[in-house]
Amino acid sequence: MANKLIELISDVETKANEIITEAEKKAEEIINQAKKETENIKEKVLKDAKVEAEKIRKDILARAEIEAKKMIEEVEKDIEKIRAGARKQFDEAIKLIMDAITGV
Amino acid sequence: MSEQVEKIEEIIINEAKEKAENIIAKAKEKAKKVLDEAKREAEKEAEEIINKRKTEAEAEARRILSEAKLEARLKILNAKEQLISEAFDEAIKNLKEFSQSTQYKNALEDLIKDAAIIMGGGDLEVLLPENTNVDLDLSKIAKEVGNQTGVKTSLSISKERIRSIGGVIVRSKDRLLTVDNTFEARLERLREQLRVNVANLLFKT
Repeated sequence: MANKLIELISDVETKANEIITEAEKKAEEIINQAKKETENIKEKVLKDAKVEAEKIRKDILARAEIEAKKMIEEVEKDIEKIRAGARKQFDEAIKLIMDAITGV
Repeated sequence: MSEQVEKIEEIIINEAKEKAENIIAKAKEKAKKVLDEAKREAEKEAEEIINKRKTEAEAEARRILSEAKLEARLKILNAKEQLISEAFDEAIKNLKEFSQSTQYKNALEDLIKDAAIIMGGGDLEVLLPENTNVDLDLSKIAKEVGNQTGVKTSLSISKERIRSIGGVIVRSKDRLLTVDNTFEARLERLREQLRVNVANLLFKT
């Protein structure tokens, strides 16, 4: 009778151990899966970051190019004004040179 | 008896199930921590990538703008320089015409007198450009030079001709002293000062 009881309990303990072993196996799988996912997460986050960084870079450079172009266009207008102003004084400038060279 | 054994069995299995649930729960918790940490690290690295790229782009943008500013300044300087050069070119063209005009005689006499006074008078000869066709009153000039320098002065036209658009070279007879008052030489001597004056005139605001 006692032997029978011990045998029964032993079977139950084996079953209990199997439950725990199964759980430990599953736990290991969960952790391994998580470790695999970290690589995917990292890859995705960095890929997105690179795309965003490139977009930011392009925006900044495009703005600078537009500003630079505008600056040069403004200067072209300024130069036209300078030329127009200088043309009005041109005869006087030539006279100034002539007087200096021919006069003493 | 059978009921008791069943109860013991139930207890053992329930304990095992509870322990198993704990193991799974802890594993899930650990997995969550691993994922959260990985995400945090990746986000930090991502931020660094973005900031680095942004900083580089901003530096590049500053370089583009700085080059544009420089280009703009150079364009203005070149435009002004071109206008000054045009004024000088036009003046030289006018000087060539002037040397064929009636007013040239007076200017030439003044240039001879100026050179002779600088030389302190004495026996001097006058070297004229090849195409000069002017009737100069050298004795009058010599007298004026003598009056101003206190040195008896004589002036004569040299047979030697010079290559010049106008003006004169005055040389002592012993050839020790020379004053170059050709238009080219005067232009060269006065160019820097004239550039400033011309620029002030052309670009006065």
